[in-house]
Parts: sequence; C-alpha cells; structure tokens
Amino acid sequence: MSSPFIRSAVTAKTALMRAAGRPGMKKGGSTSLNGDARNDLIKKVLFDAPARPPVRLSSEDMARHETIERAWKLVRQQHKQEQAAGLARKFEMMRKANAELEATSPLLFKHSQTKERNAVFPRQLRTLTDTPPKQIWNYREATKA
Amino acid sequence: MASLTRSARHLLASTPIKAPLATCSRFASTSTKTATSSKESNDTVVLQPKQEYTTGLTRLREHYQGTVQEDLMVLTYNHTFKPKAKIPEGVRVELKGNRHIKPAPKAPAANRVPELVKIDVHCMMKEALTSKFNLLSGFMAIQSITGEMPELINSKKGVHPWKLRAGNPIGCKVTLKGDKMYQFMDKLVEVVLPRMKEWPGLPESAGDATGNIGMGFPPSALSLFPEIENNFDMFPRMTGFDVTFTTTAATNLEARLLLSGFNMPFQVKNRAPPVPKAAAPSIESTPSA
Repeated sequence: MSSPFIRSAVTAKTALMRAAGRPGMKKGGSTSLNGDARNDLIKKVLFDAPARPPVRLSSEDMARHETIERAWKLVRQQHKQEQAAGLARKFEMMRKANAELEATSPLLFKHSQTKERNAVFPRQLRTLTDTPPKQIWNYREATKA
Repeated sequence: MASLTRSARHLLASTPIKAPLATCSRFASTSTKTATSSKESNDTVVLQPKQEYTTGLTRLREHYQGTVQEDLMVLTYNHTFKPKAKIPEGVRVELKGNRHIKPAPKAPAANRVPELVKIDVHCMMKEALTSKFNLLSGFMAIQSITGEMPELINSKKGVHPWKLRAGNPIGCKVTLKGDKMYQFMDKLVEVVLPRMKEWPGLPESAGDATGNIGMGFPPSALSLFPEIENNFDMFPRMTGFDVTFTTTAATNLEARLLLSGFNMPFQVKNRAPPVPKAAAPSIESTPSA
C-alpha cells in the first residue's frame, strides 16, 4: 500500500519523535508500546489538542449571523416543502392510475401489483457527477446481453 | 440593527420559523466593568461542530432526492394494502422461538418513502484487552475516515475465557447523519468497495427484517480509504470495522432497494420474472410483468 513518494522510515521516525515530544524522556503517562512513538502522537492529536476558542461577535455581527442562519433555514424549509409537494402530487397520480387499472382489468392489475422479492437497482445506475466519466460507453458490456 | 438592509430586517421580522433559532449557544458577558465603551454586549458564540446540513451540497443526497426517492415511491407502492388487526392493550403475544413482533406495516404514503437515516461505524479491538492504548489506532482511523470524533465503548459484561471484564474499554463507535453520512457512503461506494479483493457484493438476503442493513470490513479494507492510504505508516495497527445502515424502510426488500439506489452492489441471481399468485385462466395470452 505504500507509494514510492512516502518518506523513508528513518526520517519518518525522527520526525515522529520530535513531534511527540520525545516521550522516552517522560516517566509516566507514556502510551508508547514497545517504544512506538506513534501512539503518543495520536493521543496528543486526539485528546490533548487545545479546544477552539469561542468566537466573539458584536451585537451587530450577531444580528447578521442570526439573519444568515435564519435565511438559510428558510431556504431549506422551502426546498423541503417543494419536494414534499412534488412527491405528494406524483403519489396521488399513481394512486389514481392504480385505481383506474383495478376497475378496468383485474388481471392486468394483479400483474402490476406482483413484485420481485429481490429487486435492486441495476448496477449500471449512474449517480450524478459534475463531469462525464472517463469511459463514456462500454461497448463490451452493452453488447453482451 | 441599523446596519441591516430594510429587506433583511423585514425578513427577520416576518418569517415564522417553527424550529428554534438556536444553532449556536450564546453566553452573555459577565464582565462588571463600567461601560466606557458603547452599549454593545460582548456575545460569544460557541460554534457547534455537529451540523447535519453543513454545505447543503452533497452528491448522494441530491441523487436520492432527484432519482431514488421517486423510483422508490413507485417500486414500494402497494395499492391493495390491508391494515393488520391492532393488538389490544395489555395483551401479550408470544411467538415461538426467539422471534419478536415486528411493527405493524403502515399504508404507503408520499412522506413514507424509505430514506437513509444514519450510518454507524463501529470498531472492536481485541488487542485493547492487553493494553488500552492499542485502541488509539482504531480511534484515529475511524476519525480520519468519518470526520467525526468517535466515542469510546466499554464492555457491558465480562467473558472470562476471553479475559474480558465488564467495563473494559474495548472499541469505538461513531454515528453519522446528514452530510457526513452521505459523504461516507460516497467514499465507500466509489473508492473502497470497488477496490476490495474478491468481494461479490452484499448477499441477497441482507437485512434485519426491520429495514436496517449491516456489513463488516476486514482490516485490509481500512487501508483502501484515501485518508488512511496516504498516511499508512502513521497507524500502528490496521483494524476491521463494521458499518450499519439505518433506514426508514419497513422490510428487507425496501432496504436493499434503497441501498442499491446508492450504487451499493448486491449479489443478484438470474431468475424468471415473477408471476401473480392467483391462478388466472388467460395467463398465457397476456405477457408477464
């Protein structure tokens, strides 16, 4: 897994010892196992890092901050409401279509309600990306089936 | 508030928002100095680290809202839904074996489409029994992968053959929601899973019958994450971990459909298309579903 660009082990260890603050010197509280300094460094990074100082805002800045937060919440709320309304419309049309089919042909309706028990989306489903893929079309896969 | 524009002031005054405003906690200054400066009070804002909707721009969330949600609504729709008889209060229903009663199924609705709620990443390290500092590597690894500080898990019971005592620190766990959840899912599906050796996909029967799916990863999978691969030498120990997807799906099928919508691969067997149960006389004349 190591790439050719990682520093050699010797320089890495000396840098580690420096970063961990030469744990060999301290008597107690050492987390190094078998002289492994990495654990000390990890413990430092995780637990001994200083907490973020609280941000101080004037009352004007506070008002601005609250307005921005409120506006963003409003945008999200409106987005959610649009989404829900759109889904509700589609659901209602689907329900009406199903009811009409049930009234029209019982056999076709039964077929429409039969579901595959292990249905999954196809593996070729492509999630949205900003740029097109490196391989636009896989001829081999497409001409297989 | 004179520095706000008129439209901003109008917005602040006129928009009724149900959720409480406080996304930040405020502490009034306790200084008792005589007011030499102006009337402004020094408020300190402690920025909350955990926010479910940090940027609002997650690829998989938009994919879900644009594509998967509507398809799921159609695929999980059942027009002939009959509500189950409610068990009256105080009646105890006992099922044979270790089975428990599943929650009553609800009628399909537009606001009840299966959705991914949270992802739990959990790592248990047996080496922590010999020395609890062995856990640090797993801690750091999970924090690098997920971006959230994990919590320590202590053992609840002791198991003598494994040299485990109750209350031993034995593992770490983190719960991901919102943006971070979708980003972790993205990483899994795009980077880690394709590079795993000889992994055929989740089994066809995956799921716990109430809409949640769990999976485990060997220690080799940890090194496939980009955060860990780049600093591989800094981690003393590679550990395996398990991932649990919690969804609002009601059945295994819905949960699998939901996850496969995010490109999670499942093992698919070639089967004949399904046929409706009731024997209809003219079944040969009409094409199957």
